[in-house]
Amino acid sequence: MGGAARLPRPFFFWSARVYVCAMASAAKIHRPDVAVAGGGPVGLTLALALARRGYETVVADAGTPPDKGGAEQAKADSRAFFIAYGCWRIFRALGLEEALLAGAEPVTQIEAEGRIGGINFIAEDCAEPVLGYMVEAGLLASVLHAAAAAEARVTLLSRARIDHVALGDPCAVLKLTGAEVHAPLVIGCDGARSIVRRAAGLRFEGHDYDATAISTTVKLSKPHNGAARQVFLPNGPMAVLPLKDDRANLIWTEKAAVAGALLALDDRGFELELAKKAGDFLPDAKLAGARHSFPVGLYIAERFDAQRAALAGDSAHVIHPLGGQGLNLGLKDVAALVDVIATAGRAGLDIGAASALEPYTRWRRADVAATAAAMEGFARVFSAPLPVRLAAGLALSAAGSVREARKLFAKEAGGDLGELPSLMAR
Amino acid sequence: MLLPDRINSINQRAIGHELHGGASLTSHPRRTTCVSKPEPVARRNKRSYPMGKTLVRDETIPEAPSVDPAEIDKFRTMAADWWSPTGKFAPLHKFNPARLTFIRDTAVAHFGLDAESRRPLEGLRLLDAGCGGGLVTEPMARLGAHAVGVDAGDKNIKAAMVHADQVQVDVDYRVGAVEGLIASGEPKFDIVLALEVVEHVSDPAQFLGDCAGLLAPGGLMVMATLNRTPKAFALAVVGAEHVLRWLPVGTHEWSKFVTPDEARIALTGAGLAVQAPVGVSFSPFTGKWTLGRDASVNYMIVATRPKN
Repeated sequence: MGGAARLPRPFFFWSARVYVCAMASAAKIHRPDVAVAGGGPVGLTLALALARRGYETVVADAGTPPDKGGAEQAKADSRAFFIAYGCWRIFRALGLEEALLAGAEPVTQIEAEGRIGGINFIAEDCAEPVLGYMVEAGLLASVLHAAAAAEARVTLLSRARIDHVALGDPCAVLKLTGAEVHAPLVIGCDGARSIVRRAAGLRFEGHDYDATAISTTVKLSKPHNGAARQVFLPNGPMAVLPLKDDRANLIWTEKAAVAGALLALDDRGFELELAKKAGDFLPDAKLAGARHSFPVGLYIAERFDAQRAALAGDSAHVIHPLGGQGLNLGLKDVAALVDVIATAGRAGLDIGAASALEPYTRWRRADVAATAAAMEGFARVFSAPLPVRLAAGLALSAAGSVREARKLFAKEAGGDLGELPSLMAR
Repeated sequence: MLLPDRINSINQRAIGHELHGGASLTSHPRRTTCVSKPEPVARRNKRSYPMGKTLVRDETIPEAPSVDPAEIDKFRTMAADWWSPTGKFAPLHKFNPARLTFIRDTAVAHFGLDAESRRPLEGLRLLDAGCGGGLVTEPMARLGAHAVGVDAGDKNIKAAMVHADQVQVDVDYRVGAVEGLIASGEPKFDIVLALEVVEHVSDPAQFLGDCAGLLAPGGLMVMATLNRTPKAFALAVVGAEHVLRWLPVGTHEWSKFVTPDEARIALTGAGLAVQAPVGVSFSPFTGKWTLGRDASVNYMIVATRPKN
């Protein structure tokens, strides 16, 4: 039953559009204030944050919720996210900190090193107790799903593939299997191959590296002491990020061909290769989870907003996994977007209008581009011929010996620089 | 009631409306629509003036015009111009959130409304005098007000109507002048807005008096304009029109700017209690408009009509 059908206007006042909507109402039509495409960490966090500001949201997600057969899936998911302390404040503001702390591992120092030279900064440098937390994908998903289920203003449609997105006046229309969502604004949190971005006609500019990242969980032979470590190997960086029980999330970037071979190896073979490549850095590490792989690239959408649409997370930008900034950028998008929407809504503006959303791109795109460029720079410099690598390593060491520079690095990695949205306020 | 002898059938219709609270906006008979207005209204309009009399715009009683379906595309283009954040009204869009939020917050405080509500102005009658393309009227309607937008420009109102229809917001738009509303016996308003319009009228004191005259007891009036200072000449006329080209040359005539004192005298004379002016200034560094004490260029004045 569509709201349009209830308009007490004579039928000849109905525009063709309204009439068609009313006729096609066999599918259930949801009419929230905001439609969110994609129920990953970015989409669910956004829906929760908007709900707390009084906005009804509907999240359309193709996946299965973790409490309905998704739990096994989540266990098999060995991905983990670094949540910088600035972004952790978002979860604190949403009341999720306690639930997440049950399985999150604090990161108290970050090391980045080449074969010679590197930089090391600790939480003290930015006067925070921790630089961030490592959270496993399964835990984050179950906490966010539980919070969404408990929030009256969030409706999560699971197993709902988005077949079509139409952006127009007076509202954006998402066509799902068996349902439709009509909302003045749709936010694409639907990943690198975003259907919302495509509907908005926004270009995704960038390039792939000849590299693949392999993500897995390893059991360490000695305590990690809360250190997130990155080492620049000739074929690409490797990151070892601390998890509970002296496990670590390993992100190993390799040339695509080599990565393919590594993925084909059995567990023992993979461990041997790991010892050969990074034995001094990661002695006697044992595999403790499944291996995932994803291509490494650098892509940024030309704008993060369009009439009736906005992009957040991977739909707006894909960056090098080095530094663990991917989800952090997405969470910063969420916090900024919530402020932009709330400001427009308080003023009575159409929250889906280009004029209301324009500040969002201005706010976020420069930050994303800068982070992407920094990660790209690191990755390139440290895969360059030896003299360049040496020079870069020494330059980093020099920077690391200056306290103010370390502080800046720590704050940048912590997502605590620039104009902070209210969800990330200190 | 003012000038009861001039009330004609149109006004009876207006007075007859269920204007406060209860009436659902969608069922409001004045709901803007792209479809031509039914014939009778136009005929009544003609009949209310003697044949052959030349109509002076100021004497016309504001009415919602009809938009000829053949012209919808033209007005849609005009509406797109008005509402484009990068088009010729870009400065207004930059300016808009600050003043809209100010009006909302002032109204919430004045009437003791729910600050957290998505539609805090529900049930209040609001007049936007000189509404242009409806950049303020439409948001006010979205905040729940029964918003009436009046502008002398027929094209402005048509563009505003087309836009309101496009985004499905109920706004009561009319072409005409404020004194026409008084003459037609329009019921009083809880909120009267006169934003960036005083500097364009021929007799600002008279205009402000007319706006004040439409304010109900206990009502709230917000006026915004440019101050007649050398700084305003440098920034608003030379800077915005000749240097930055934000506005077409000739948009503003400095000699017609109104000082806060002149505004205060006009509003006090009309029986309102006038508050100190609030400055609105632009920071070239952040590109944002903020409210403050510096009323030397753009400023707003809040005035209220005592309850009895």
